[in-house]
Amino acid sequence: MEVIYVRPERCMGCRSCEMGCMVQHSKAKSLAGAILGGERPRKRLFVEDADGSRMPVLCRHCEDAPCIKACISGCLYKDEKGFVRRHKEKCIGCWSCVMLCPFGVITADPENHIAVKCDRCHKLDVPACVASCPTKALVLRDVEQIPAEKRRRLALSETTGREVA
Amino acid sequence: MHHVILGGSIAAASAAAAIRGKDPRAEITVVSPETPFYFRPLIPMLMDGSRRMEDISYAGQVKDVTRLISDRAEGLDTKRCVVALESGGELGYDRLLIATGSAPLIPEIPGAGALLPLRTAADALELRKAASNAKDALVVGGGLVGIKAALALGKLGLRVTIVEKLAHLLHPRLDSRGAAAVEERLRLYGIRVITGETVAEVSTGKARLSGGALIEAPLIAVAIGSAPCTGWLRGSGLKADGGICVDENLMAGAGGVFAAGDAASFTDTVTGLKINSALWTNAVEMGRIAGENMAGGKLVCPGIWRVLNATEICGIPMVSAGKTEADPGEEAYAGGHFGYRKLIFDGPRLKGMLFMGDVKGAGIYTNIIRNRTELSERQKQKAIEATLGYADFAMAGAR
Repeated sequence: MEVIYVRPERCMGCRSCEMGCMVQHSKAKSLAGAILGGERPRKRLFVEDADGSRMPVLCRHCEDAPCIKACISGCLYKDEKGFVRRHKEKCIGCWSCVMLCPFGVITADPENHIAVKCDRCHKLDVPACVASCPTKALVLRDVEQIPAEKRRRLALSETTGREVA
Repeated sequence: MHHVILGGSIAAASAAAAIRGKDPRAEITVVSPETPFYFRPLIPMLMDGSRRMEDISYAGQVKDVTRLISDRAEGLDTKRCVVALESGGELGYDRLLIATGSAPLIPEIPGAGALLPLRTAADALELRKAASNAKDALVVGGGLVGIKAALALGKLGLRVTIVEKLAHLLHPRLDSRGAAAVEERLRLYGIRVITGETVAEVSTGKARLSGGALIEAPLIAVAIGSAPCTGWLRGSGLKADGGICVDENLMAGAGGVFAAGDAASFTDTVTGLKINSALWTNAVEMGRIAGENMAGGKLVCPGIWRVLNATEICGIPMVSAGKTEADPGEEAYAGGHFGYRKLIFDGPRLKGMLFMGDVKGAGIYTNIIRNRTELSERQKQKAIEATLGYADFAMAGAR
């Protein structure tokens, strides 16, 4: 299974990922089209600033997802690919998922009165945020590769004394 | 292995899934006196007609139950490992989960028989029926259920009054300032709110309040809380002081007997006190832990929540967790630019939170409370300023 892997050391805070996400979740599927059509698409990931260091924070599609457990209306579910998604029509806007997402990445859409979250761009091969990141701070990785890569980076940064991409 | 689960709500469903996950060959019997497996928090929507029973049922998703028995447990013999059923039969078990939930409290006043509770889907439909013949309604109890019931009745065109015994609505889920905002909004929605009083007496079509006022109310709903359904355990030898007492594995004293959800008492994460809760999220988690342990696991329940609520009332989204009033020695920060935010700290640890209006990022705070995270001065400052994010924790490790 491929997951979106975040490399904060590469993030410049340009917010291209947020823009890519918004455009993908617009009806027009283009920036100009969305603006001209009066759409107000909502982003599902957030570039956060932790005292100068920036990083995109997004849904991890948790194995044992707290948002699904919190959902009191049967809206949130895990699809066949392991992505945590919504049955939009079932959301009642109770915000229980917002209350329990430890990453803070489920938000309220006040216009439609439903919770909004990352759907991993399940119809695309490459999610919009990953595709729009100019510095490859967001990449797709096979989940099996991550422990190995993490170990390599940790070892290198320990021995060289600097962050290794 | 024969697993018997008493109760047919979310603790039961959650336990059944956990048992099945560990033991594909387990035999799982669920005994429920009412229609099992529906989203109980949605019953106010059955009342106002915005949902039908089939819309709020998740029975179709519960695939782990081998056998469903429509009955009620009446007694328990832990030596012989059998449950006595109301219909007269007996049911043997290897592992038993008591997830019988809680029942609505009814005040002991003259005429109490006329009060309609809101606890089950059947109650909701009963209230809906009663509403069709009434113009005025009184709701006794200004908690979450009472307010949702009042709003549903209002939607059905009734003139509604809420009477709450305490000084403010939604205690302890909101503090007095938050409750004042809700009260004001309810009034705007045409609902009358009376606090500091309760119902003293009910007679045909009228209710007398403790202050003496007589209120016209052919329909009187009651929502003053619920108590664990444990009366049937008398003589079983199980300790059920309020709720069923369980150990950290959610085992209830006798061999192979577990308890979860509203029926059980357990430790509050924040205060360390033994509590009964009637919260969905607690039931999900306790059900899962009990289920795992019934199938041979050794999971420890870290604690449950007295306060852990998210909802929206009359257009005000709100989340509260832990506690909403500070105890001596704790600091409370209350304010906010967009709505109302309150955080309660015990030194570097967050003990309680209340967000109203803007609930974004609430989960970061509930997670900090649950994990008893020791915040740095900077993180605490950012929490107070409402700029704390996940990155403040992820990047703290990197620097």
